[in-house]
Amino acid sequence: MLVHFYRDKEGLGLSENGFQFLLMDTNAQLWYIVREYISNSEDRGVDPADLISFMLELSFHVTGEAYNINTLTDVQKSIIKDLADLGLVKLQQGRKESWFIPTKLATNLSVSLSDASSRKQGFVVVETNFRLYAYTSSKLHRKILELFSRIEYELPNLTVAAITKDTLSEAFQCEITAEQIISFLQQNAHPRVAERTPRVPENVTDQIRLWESDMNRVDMTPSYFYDEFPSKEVFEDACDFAREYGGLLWEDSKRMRLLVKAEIHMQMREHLRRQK
Amino acid sequence: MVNATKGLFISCDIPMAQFIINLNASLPASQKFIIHILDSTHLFVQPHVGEMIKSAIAEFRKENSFEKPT
Repeated sequence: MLVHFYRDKEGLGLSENGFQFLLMDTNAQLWYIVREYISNSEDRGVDPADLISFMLELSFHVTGEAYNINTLTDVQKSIIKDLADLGLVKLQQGRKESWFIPTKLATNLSVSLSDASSRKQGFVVVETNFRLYAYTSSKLHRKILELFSRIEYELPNLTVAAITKDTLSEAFQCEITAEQIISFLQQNAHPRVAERTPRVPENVTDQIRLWESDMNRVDMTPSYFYDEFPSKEVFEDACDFAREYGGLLWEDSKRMRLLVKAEIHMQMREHLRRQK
Repeated sequence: MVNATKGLFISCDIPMAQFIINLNASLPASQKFIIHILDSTHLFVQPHVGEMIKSAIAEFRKENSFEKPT
């Protein structure tokens, strides 16, 4: 599946990939789906090369102009229905003939991801007091903001939210990274603040990153602890061996103690046995 | 004969290390989990206590943060 679902105690929930998908740019989301569609096409007996060349052709059509379906090959006719479901084209049935009309989504397929002119208008203003003002009435936008901020007021055209340590730690537990949140805010910045550099205040981005690193203050590695070495040479030799395999975590030459990663424990044991 | 002990290597900053040592000291003798204190930022503990330490740290973090009541 595109967006992987898993079952947790409350039923179906969104997985880590799901959250990341939500926060992606529209073009990136579209390409994600198109890539999955293309890789599934082989199972359905459609040649991927045909599919890809048709999609690229489609992106050069004029948006909004109707094209006759009879100009397409049979393979392409079978694909066009799926594309209509995705929203890339609109199908229209005339009296004698059928037409398809490429939408803006289709013509943007071949546009580079960083092209600003095709970007939809942003709607989020982030202030230095960690408040978010989202000029949108879309439920989808509200849900996305709910992922990492606390909604304070909902007005007909405006949603006011606040980013707090608590809401961010919930987001981090869902495997959303600080970078994703920050790039989502930057890409969807309201036109009034879009000209400002940086689009999102530095203290907000810095604080989001600090809170993320606060989540993992402790590094844990499964490992093995070696001591009671018979002599200095054996100890030094074991240290070099561990260092070669990149498994040396910590050593104490005064008391001849060594810590190595669990992955190379077997090899270490063999090596020490061979020393006897 | 070289002795090998299995466990978990913990690397963190000094305050966190002290927090873990304190946590260890507050537990009854049968549940103490630190095998060796290596230096001020590294510890060697029993292998199964990773989750317990993480949840204790999360509790500690929650106690220290203020959330405006809604």
